[in-house]
Amino acid sequence: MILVALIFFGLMLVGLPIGYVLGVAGTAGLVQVGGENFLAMAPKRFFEGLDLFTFMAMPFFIMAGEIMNRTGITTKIVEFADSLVGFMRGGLAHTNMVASVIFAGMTGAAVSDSAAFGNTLVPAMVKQGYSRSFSCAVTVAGSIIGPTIPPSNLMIIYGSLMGVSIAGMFAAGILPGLLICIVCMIYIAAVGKRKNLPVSDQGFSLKRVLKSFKSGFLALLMPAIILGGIIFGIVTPTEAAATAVAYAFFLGVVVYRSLTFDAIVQTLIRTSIITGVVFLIIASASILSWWMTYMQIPQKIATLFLSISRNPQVVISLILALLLIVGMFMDINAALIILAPVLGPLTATIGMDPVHAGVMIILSLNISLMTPPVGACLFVISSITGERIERISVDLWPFILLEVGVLFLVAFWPAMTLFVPGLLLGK
Amino acid sequence: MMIVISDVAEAFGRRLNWVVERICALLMATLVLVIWFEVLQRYVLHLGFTWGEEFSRYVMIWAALMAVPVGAYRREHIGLEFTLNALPPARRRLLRRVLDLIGLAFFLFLTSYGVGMAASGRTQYAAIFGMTMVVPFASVPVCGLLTSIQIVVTMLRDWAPKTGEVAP
Repeated sequence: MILVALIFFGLMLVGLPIGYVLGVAGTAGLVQVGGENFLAMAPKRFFEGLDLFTFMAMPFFIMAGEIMNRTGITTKIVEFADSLVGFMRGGLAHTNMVASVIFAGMTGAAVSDSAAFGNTLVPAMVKQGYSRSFSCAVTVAGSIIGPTIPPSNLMIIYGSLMGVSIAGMFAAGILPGLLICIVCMIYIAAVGKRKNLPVSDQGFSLKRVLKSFKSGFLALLMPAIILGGIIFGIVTPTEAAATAVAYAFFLGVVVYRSLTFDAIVQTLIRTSIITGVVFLIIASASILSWWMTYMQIPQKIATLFLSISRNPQVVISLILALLLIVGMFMDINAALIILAPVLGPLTATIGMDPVHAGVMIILSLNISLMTPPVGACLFVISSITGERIERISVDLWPFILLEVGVLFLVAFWPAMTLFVPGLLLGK
Repeated sequence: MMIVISDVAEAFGRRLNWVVERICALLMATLVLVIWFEVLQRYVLHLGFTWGEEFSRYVMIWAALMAVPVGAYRREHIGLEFTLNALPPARRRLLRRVLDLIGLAFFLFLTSYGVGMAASGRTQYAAIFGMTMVVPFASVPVCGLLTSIQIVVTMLRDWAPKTGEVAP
């Protein structure tokens, strides 16, 4: 067991891609328990790890997001958000947050939010007089809303692997996502004067709100189509995702006419590359997770946690600490696939609702997307804007602390997470 | 000499990648069309077809696994960079080569054992539409082989020292 752990952590630390690390460590695990005879299991597990219909929602949500980005819909979302909150001190920072919420209803990954707003809102904020590091910090803090509010790739992975209702988790993610937006906006308002954040010369105008709503209406309909379809049980997540692609495609080709044949081919290629990177991690992780199950590692970790305390609050705190620390160093897809089978049953032992536990686990991994040293959103925004990670981190810490606060609220107040699923799904 | 080999490898890798990317796009487009058809036949046409889910699953696996070599060619499979970044250029290149060799070994292993798995698919059939499982299983060795080739290409491509770096 120690050898496999050494291979895993050693290769990860020296920089082997995580998709390869999981495969090599998993294969070493197979040899350790069954010698050469078990090697044939590796490609089988690799294949079976991907053979789940519910995974298909992921490439489709990725594709819908890619199409939306290419058709200039992001700009319309930003305009609408700006008409709502742009008049306040620090207007564009507030706009960034609200736009993240709307964007979150269309995309399943935080990095696509960072990329979209890093290219559009950060330059606009800098031009208006915000510091580059603060603009980046706001964008990264807002990106976390993306995979918290549905659709969410991580929820699809967790739901598929653990047999938890994806629709239930989607519904449960809405309030925590909105809460993150609200606390971040309160912080921006609170530091506005001290940081001397710019005030827009445009006041609030209902006329402008209606005008930008009308202009972006078709784009704003997208979250409603996705969420309405899934949450009200009309379609499955995969079907909703495919419908989202059809709708984005319709907007790009027929309505906005900005999607050329070449852009469609590039979108398909980009989608398959992003999918390929995530699916390699899933496939390789399923080799390692077989070994972990065989070695009864989930049970051993659960016993270890419960030996520290059987108090649910203490166990939940330990789980959150583990996830936040692991997420700091490991790709969150890999962390989720490896830790879900460990933590899922543990949360059940202490009596947590599976949907509540799933949302808590995913939110804590999402937060780790913005923590140094390896937060993916931090890297994306840094590479797009050229701002140094160290400088962004200084402005980002208050946001991280606030979002960790929301995480603890989610963890210890189940009613907040389960309120919407109860209302919509009767669960 | 090394520069010539590096250029030839890069030219070959680029062409291979161009073809594989188009195959990915085609598979992705097929996947979208199959699921659109599924939605349409389930809610509008009521044809009662049941093969869509199984067929689309295999197309999805092929599409995702064919994108793995594209990711390798573009170096999009990312790992932790801080150890690499902390090293001086010459050592960094050496470590990158070692990591590439480990990756290559894993994908060659996946190719060789994947061929065995695909061959075993001759006696297995897809549950609903009865296709031989050789076709879906073959995605693993094909992914392994193409990724191995692209890892070698990237190794050769990066072999020639860049400006300002010293060859180890």
